Formats: sequence, C-alpha cells, structure tokens
Amino acid sequence: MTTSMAKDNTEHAQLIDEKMEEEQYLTFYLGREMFALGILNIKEILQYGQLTTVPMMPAFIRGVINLRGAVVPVVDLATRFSGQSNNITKKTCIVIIEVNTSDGKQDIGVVMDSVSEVLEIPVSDIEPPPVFGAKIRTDFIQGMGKIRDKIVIIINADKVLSIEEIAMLSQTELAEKKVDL
Amino acid sequence: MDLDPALQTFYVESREILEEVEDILLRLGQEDEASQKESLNAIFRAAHTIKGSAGLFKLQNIVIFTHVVESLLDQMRESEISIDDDIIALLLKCGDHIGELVTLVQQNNADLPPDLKESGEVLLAQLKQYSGVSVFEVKESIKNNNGKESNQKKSWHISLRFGCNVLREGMDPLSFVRYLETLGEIENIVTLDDALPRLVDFDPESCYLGLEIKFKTQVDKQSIEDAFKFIQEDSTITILSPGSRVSDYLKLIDEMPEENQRLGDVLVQCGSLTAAELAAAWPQPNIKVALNKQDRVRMPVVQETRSMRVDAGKLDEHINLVGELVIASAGAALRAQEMGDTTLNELSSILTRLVEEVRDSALHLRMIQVGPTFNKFQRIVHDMSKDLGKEIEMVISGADTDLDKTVIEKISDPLTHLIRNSVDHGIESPVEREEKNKPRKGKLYLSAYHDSGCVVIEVADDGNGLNRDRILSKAKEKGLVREDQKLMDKDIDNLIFEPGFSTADKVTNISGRGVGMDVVKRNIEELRGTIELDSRPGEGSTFRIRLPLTLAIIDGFLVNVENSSFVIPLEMVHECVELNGVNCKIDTDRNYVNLRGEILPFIRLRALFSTGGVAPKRENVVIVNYAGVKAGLVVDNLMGEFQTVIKPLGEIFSHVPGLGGSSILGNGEVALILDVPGLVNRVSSMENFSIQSAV
Amino acid sequence: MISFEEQGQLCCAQIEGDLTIYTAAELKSDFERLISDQRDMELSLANVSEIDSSGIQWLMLAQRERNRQNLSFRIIDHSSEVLQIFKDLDLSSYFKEPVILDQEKGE
Repeated sequence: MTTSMAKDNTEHAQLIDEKMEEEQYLTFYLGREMFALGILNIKEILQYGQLTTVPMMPAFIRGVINLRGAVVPVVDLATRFSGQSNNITKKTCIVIIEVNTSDGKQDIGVVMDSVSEVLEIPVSDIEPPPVFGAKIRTDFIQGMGKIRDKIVIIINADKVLSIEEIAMLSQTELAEKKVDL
Repeated sequence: MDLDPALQTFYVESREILEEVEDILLRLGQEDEASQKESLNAIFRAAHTIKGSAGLFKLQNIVIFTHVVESLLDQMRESEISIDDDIIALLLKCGDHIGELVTLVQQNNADLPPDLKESGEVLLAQLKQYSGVSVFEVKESIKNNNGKESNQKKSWHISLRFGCNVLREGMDPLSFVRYLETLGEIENIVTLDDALPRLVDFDPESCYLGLEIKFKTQVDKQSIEDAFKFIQEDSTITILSPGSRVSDYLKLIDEMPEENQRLGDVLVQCGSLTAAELAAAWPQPNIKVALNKQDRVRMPVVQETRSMRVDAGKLDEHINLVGELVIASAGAALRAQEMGDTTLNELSSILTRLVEEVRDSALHLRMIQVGPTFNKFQRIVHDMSKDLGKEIEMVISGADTDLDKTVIEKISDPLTHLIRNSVDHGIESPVEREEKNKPRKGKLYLSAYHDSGCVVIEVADDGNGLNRDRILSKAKEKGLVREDQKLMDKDIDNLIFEPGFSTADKVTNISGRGVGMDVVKRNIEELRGTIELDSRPGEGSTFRIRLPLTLAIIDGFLVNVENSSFVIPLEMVHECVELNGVNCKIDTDRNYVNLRGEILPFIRLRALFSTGGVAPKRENVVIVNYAGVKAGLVVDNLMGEFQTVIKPLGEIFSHVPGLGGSSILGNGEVALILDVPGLVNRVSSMENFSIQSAV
Repeated sequence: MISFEEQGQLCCAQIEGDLTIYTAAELKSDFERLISDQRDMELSLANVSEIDSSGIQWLMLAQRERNRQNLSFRIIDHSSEVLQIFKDLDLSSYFKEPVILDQEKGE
C-alpha cells in the first residue's frame, strides 16, 4: 500500500499561494487520539513491516527500514509523545516524512496506528496551542485545528523529528546504559 | 551555451602541468647533465603550453608572467645559466605563482589582489636578475607579435577543419586565428564554406568552417600545435612545416574532404603553392586521386583517446546504482532458489556473476594511483628540510598502486602529518647524524603496496626512532599511565596515539600544532583502516597504514541474533567455533572462554543489544581479531560470507559505538554492520565503569 | 533578432544585437526568411554588437544559399566589430559587395 500522494501534491502545492500551502493535513490516530500533520512534507505511506531494530537506542526509535535502497530511521510517535507504544495491527503504517535538518533534508519514517484522511483546515480554524493541558510538549504542537467540532493537535514535524534532538537523546540513552551491565 | 568546459579543462590541465613541473624541479638537482637537459626541455614545454593556452583565453597576467619564466628556462636550456638550488627554489615559487594566477581566474577575479601582485613583482625582479629579461620587454615583445628579427621567420601552412562541436564547447575558430596573430603573421587566410550544409540540414550551433592559413612565424612547430591543443580531439589539424615538398601538399589535398581541384586552388590562393607547382603536379585533372577519394568511405578519423574526464559525481551515482543492482540481483537469486526452478536458477546465477563483474569494474573506475598524492609530499619535504636545515632524500615506491579516490583524498591529511613528524622529529640534523656515523642525508621512505586485500602505505625514516623514556614520562605526567605501571616497548610506542599526547618538547610551527597522532589514528579508523608503528631506537621508525581497497563495498560475515542480522567485516573474522564445543569451553560465569587453552574474552551480542528472547541451545562464537586483540562475539547462527554495499546509517545513529553502517540483504531486510573495534572499546569501557562504581 | 522592412522590390533587413553562438539558434527562423525572400536583400549589420564564427557561418550560408537561387544579397553598414572579423578571416571577397566604411555611406 504505497500511496503516491507525495510528489505531485508537493509540487502542485508549492505553486499555490503560501497561505494555501498548509491548509491540507493528513489526519491519523495514535491510540484513540486523532492528530494532524501538514501534507507538504509527507512523501509516502507504507504498510508497517520489515523493520530492523537498532540496538542500544531509545525506545521511540523503532529501527530502520529499506526504502528503495536507502536506509531510513523509523520513529514511534506514540512512544515519543507518551513513552508508551501501541500494538502493531493491520492498520499500522509507516509514513515517510521529509524533515529539515541543519545540513539539508532527511527522510524519516513515522509509525502511526492508522491514517485517516486528508482534510483541509482553513487557517481561521487553527488556534494556537494551549499553554498546558495537551499532555504533549508544547513545542511539538504547531496548532490546534478544529475539524467538525473536534479538536486535533497539528504536530510540528521538524520539532518532533528533530535529528539533532534525537541524536542527542540516543547518546544520553547510551551513557545511561553503561551502568546496566 | 557555456564557455566553461574549455576553461575548466584549462584549469585542470594547468594544474596537472604545474604538478608535473614541480616533480621535475624537485628531481632536477640530483640529475646528471644529460637528464637535466631533458628535464629542462620538459619544463620549458610545460611553461610554453600554459602560456599558449592562457593566451587563447586572453589571460594576460598569466601570459606575461609565464613568458618571463619561459625566457629564463630557455637560457637555462641553452646552458647560459647554470642550475643551482636557488634557481630551483625560485622556479618552484614561480610555479606556485602561476598556480595562484590560475586559481584567481577560476574564482572569476579579474583584478590581481595587491599581495599577489606584489609577490609576482618580487619574483619577476628575481627572474630578471638571472635572465635579464624584464616585464616591460616582454609586454613589448608580446605586443610586437613576439617580434624578433623577421629573417628568422618562416612560412608554415596550417590547414584546419573544425570539429562540429567546437562552438558548443566554447571554442571559436576566430580565437585561434587571433591567437596565431600573436605568435606571428598571417600572410593569407582562406575561409572554407564547403562543409556548410544546405539550410534544412544546418544546425546553427555546429561548426562547419575550415581554414587554410599561410602563417609566417619564428616559433617552433610545438608552439603552433599547442595553440590547437583544445580542439585536437575532434578537429582535423594539419601543420606543414616550412620547406614542405609539393608532394606533402598533394597529400594534404588528398586527405581533405573538399574537391581536390578546389582545394588546390585554395592553396594557390593562400600562396602556399604556386599555380605552376600545382599544374606540374596535376598535368590533367587527376583522375586516379579523384577515384581513390570516391572509394574511400568518408568517415571521420577515429581518434584514439586513452583516457577521458568524467565528473566524480556521475561516477558515484553510477556506483550507487550498481550497488542497487547487486542488492536486487541477490533478491532475485534468493527467490529463484526458493522456487526451485532449474532454468531460473541457472539464469539467475549467470546474472549474479555478471552483476558481480559489473560491480568490480565499476569500483575500479573509482580507483586512482597514489602517485600524484605521494609526489605532493616531495614538495613538503623539500621545503621543510630547507627551513629546518636538514638534508633529506625522499624515496617513493609503489606510486602506481591503485586506491579508492575517496580514500586517497582522506588519507592525504594523516599522511601529511606523519611525514611532517618524521621530518621534524624523526630525522636528525646533518651534524647530529654525522656524530652518529650516519650519512648526513636522511632518508624518508613513502611506499604503497597490496597485501591480502588491503592497501598498505608506509611512512618510514632512518632517523632517531621514538624516544621511549620521554614518551613514558610524558604519559605519566598526563596521567595516561600509572607511576608504577610496567609497559612493553610496543605499548609505550603506541601511547603516542592516545588522545592529548604530543611528544615534541619544543613546539615548532611545523608539527605540534595541537593536532596529535590520535587524530591521525581516528582519521584512518574512519576509513576502516588501521595504523601500526614500528620503532627502532637510533635507527628510525615505520608507520604502517592498512586501508581497505574501497569504502563502498565490504566483504562481510553474516550472523544472526534473535531476529536481527548483523554483518562482521570479514577481514576481522579469525575463526568460528561452537560455544561449549570441544574447542571452546566456558570455565566460569565470567565473560571469557577457554579456546584451546587460550583465554578469550567474549561479548554476548544478545545481552549487549538487549534483543530479548531466549538463546538457542547451540550458540556460536565468532572470533575476531583486530590490531592484535582477539575477542569472541557470541551469536545465535552463522549465515556465511557475503559481499555487500555499505549504506550510511545517518546522523541519528552516529553516536552509537559498535555500529559501522548498514547494508541491505537480498530479501530487502536491513542488516547492521558491526564496528568491531568500537564494540570492544565500548564493552571494555563499560566493564571498567562498573568495576570502578563497584569499588 | 532580424527586422525586415519592405521597400518595393528591395527588402532591407537589419540584425539587432549579437550574432554569436548564444543567439545562433534563435535566429534560425529569421535567417530562413532572409534566405528564402525572393526580393533583393540588403542586410544591415550596423547594430551588431558582437559577432563570432557562428555568426559568420550564418552570413556565409545566407550568401551561398541566395547565390544558389540567383537572388541578390548585400551586406551593408558593417559595424567595426564585423569589419575586424571580415579582415581576420579575409572574407570581404566572399561577400562580394565591396565593404563601405561608415564615413562614405549616405553621401
């Protein structure tokens, strides 16, 4: 199940006026909670599978997959947010996202329990994140979107998937592991 | 349309020429008279080529400067000026200056920055002291078409048929005409339109022009040929020297595509042949020649090119694709095996073999000789020994050894460091050497050779060797070694690779600038290489660097723990045994085994990687050996040897010690490549940590 | 770019700008028209700022193709740049019309 929404949409969207750009979002579930993510950086959606775990990494790094010859790291969003991972089901997906890093762009896979649909959320329906209460680090939140009277958290992919931060966290993890043995 | 390609070629070629010149200059002092003469000729030709090409691109700064150098070289060639160390040093600097001028053009800087201008003037003044030729005279002479006495001028005939791509490549036939005008006098020129097609077939960006030129000059044939260096590959260039016989012209007429009669007329028009000469040669319209011509298939002359330039990026892309091909073919082979279809299996094994050949040849494309890199060090040694008042001869061997381009690029810095160290600290001053009954002149050996799938580069000197006492006291001072600790000589020597170690008592500006041998070691390990040191007090020391042939591919040994596959670099695998088999007993619950009486520490990958699950009944030990240290890795299953393309793991995993990269297996799964030295270091530091915290 | 101005049996063409490898391809349709025009042709090079061998090729092709069709072709008002090239390549006899220097024209 490879949805090739990626490129065409991206290129198309870039032609449109800046404001329009962020109006389309992919909604998805982690557990029973719905989140949204701007579709601009989404390259493709894959079925969960053939993942190689990388030892000595923090739990939210599931491992790496082979994406047509490139080795791409995979992050478990649920674990990143709440420290708890959910069971793999038939609906579990890996969404490939392109993130900006200090030295260019990199692809990262993100585990989602299921993806829902692509929706338009007009800018007027997006509120700033609450100071607290979302139970998620506020810098991970790009905004709160209103969809049919429901509120979804629109996540900030560059922050959640910051390569620098992930690399740092895994280093700390390693340092702590030293004591275990 | 872009003028760049031709200029790019100019940059690259000038650099290559300058490097060559540098090599020759560095050898010049030690040569006998006959070979000196030859070398000087070579240098003269090189300067001339640079001047000629620069003239083509109207790079006046380079033309003028090079011309002065050339005059000096000419006088040296005529033995008017003798060769000594100073003049060689001056010529070396001139070479550098020309290189800087080329760089300047490349950076699109039209104006000379003041410092460069000044250094150029200093050099010109020095040159003048030798040759008596000043810039002013040069400028004048360039202006006057190098106007020496016209009685030396002779008439040449130049026949040009430009290749169809010259315009596209940024070359304009006109610029050649104009360049010729700077070399001499164009007496007659005829522009030929014979190759111009009809309008329908005309491609406005192709070149169809031909030129017949009668050219009067005093320069030699080489200089005229050099003018056309950049187009010689696909253009037809014929240069007839003064005094060529009528038959030579007839041959030219015969070889050219135009009608003979027509070309004959053109040559008469040019003044290169007289009508009478032509009439005598062709009593009647020459039927035989004409027939011959018709018979001949009109085919452009196939030029034999021995090498071609390819963009390095394109090459990398190609090699990546071949890597994908290897993976895909492994996948196909696996599937074929599963299906058990004999024909399919046969086909797939043929395919696998072919893909392997393609991969080998692709990897070979990246291989270049270490020679040019080695030669670079000649200069460093020459300059440094001069500065330090030492006499050092550098001996290079195995310059034709091939190595991956990336490896060569990355090894250059560590090598520079080692060589600087040898010159600075290793080799003694002439006086000191004489006191020790050694020849005044020290020797520095730089050699490369193949050894069991690796390339070995050695930097050796016949200097003083390492001063173990000083190393030891320094190590104690820095807390790297305990006061009472007893160390073997080799261990003491290896202390210099420890981080934060620098042996020089006085910090000179040459070595000891804070970058220690630990950096050298790390750089080499990043290339998956190793470095070892062999020091004999009073006799000298040898640094031996072992490098993999290529970075893109690894010969690996595939193992399996729980559900994960790992690749261990094959060159580190010593042997494999069954845990608790006949040869390998666990004596205690400590982490070592008794391997045929030898005590072998081991690492349980299952525990280290916390894979979970239960260990199978039979576990296996892969015994690895790196830099003389043996260790065992306990794994579930051995899957066998396997050659694979290395994929980088990315920044996220860059801090993980023990992982060297990843690779994709035939079934599409990702396998992690173990970095054995990193793994062993990690485990030993973890143990030390827990022992210390237990105390 | 070539502009064409018709004056009865005479067509006055004028090249504006460069006549170099960078513009050679763009000029194709203009030259096609110039070569096939059945009237007498006068081509002014007064406004040619830069010309190189590819430009010379166009001019030579135009001259030859019009000769072949027995159509007249005259290059006038050579700019100094053009004059220099004609001199370098000794082309004035190729474009049979005598080269008239600027000062002499229009008198």
